[in-house]
Amino acid sequence: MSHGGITVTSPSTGATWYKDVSYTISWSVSGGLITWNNFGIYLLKNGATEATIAYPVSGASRSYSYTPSNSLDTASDYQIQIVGNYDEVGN
Amino acid sequence: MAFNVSAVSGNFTIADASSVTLDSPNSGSYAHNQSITISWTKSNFTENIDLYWTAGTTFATTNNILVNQSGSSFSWNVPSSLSGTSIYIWVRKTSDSTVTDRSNSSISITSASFTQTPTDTANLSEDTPTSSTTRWKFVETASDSANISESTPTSSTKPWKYVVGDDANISESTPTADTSHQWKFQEEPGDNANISEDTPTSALKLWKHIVPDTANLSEDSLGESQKLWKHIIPDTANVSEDSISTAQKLWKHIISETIAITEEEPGDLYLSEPGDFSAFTEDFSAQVLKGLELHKFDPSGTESFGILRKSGWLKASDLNNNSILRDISLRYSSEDPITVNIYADGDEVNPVFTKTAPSQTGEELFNKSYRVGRRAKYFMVELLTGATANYNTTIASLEVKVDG
Repeated sequence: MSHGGITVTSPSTGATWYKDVSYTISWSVSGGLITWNNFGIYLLKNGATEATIAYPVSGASRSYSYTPSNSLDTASDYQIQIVGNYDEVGN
Repeated sequence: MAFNVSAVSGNFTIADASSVTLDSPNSGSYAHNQSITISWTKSNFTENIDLYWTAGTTFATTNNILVNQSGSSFSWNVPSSLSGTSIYIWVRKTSDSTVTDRSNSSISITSASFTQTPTDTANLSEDTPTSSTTRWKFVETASDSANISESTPTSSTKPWKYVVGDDANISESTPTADTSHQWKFQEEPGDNANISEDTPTSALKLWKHIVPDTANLSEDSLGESQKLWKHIIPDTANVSEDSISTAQKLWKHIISETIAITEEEPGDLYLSEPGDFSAFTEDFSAQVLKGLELHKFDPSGTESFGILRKSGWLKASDLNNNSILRDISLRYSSEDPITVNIYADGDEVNPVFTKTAPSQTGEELFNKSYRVGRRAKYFMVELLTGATANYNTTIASLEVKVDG
């Protein structure tokens, strides 16, 4: 049995993203015989979900263009969460 | 069977958006090689900026002015290769075309031109010509009202006006249809100086010059080619050319004072004193010759004289000596007796000698001699005749013999 894994590659820790400027959120996946069905992309602030950036995103995607809204607070405790849904091949 | 898995990035910052504002230039016209100060303000970023120009409102990085520039301003010399009226200057966050700004309005870049602004109030200008004729005005300084101007020409003749300083004028009045020029010069109205050309009646030029005060130099008006000039010096002296009808020039000189022309050679003696012998003509003069003989010079011997004649004081020799008056001889004719008085040494009241020669009519002259026999340092001879009959009195000679 194979287990899928996700690693967020962008933004990097400590990066600064400006409001109303487009950035690329990217991630990579790992796992054996699995099929990624879709991804969900979320913005966290201080560990809590602040906003859903996109869902569902195609399971084939590994990046997503995102422009921080001007309505967001300026802060340094934001995070990007990627949630992936996959099937194990052969199960 | 489906599974979910998630991952979370490390903390990152979301900050206000970066921006950059082009503060200047936002409009204007500039010439080649002119320096333009480009200034900008960055917001929410620390990276450098790039500068560009475009020939429209669409951003492009084709024409860069400067890249990766720190600070907030840059002095740009407009290249001579750049011309246009819709030029925009851009500032961009270095390598980030999402953060840009440009001039609010287009700027114009033209060929170099040179304009010199007068540093004082002086002006040199050409009036707007209304034809191909050029009209110029020159105002040296407004404060002294000096003007050189050419008034509106009415023909090919150029009339000029020159106004120096205050009220002085050199002007050519509007020329008439012919080719004659009329000039006037007024140096300063206050001193009445004038040089003017009167209105010519032909091609001749008539000029007047009036020196300040009462002096005059003038050419009289005349209708032909002769020129008459007058010059009056500021005092009462006059040099003038009288009016003439030919081409000859006549001049007069009148000295300011009336000076009697009575100069004689030094040493001459007079039988008269000014004022006492008004009837004397200038030929009736006498002098001591060859030591001590007093003669009346009268080649014709026909002069008449008045009631009283005095010789004035005569000196026969050095004043240290008392000369001896020996004789006095008179050659004359007269219808009245002639009294001969001799005064000596300053006494004009009491004669030292008195004799009366009798009347002697006829064409022949009569000789009469008297012995005097008196000493005197100097003496004076006086002749008296009657009040009514002196007109036919003739003194051919008067001789006083003196031993010095």
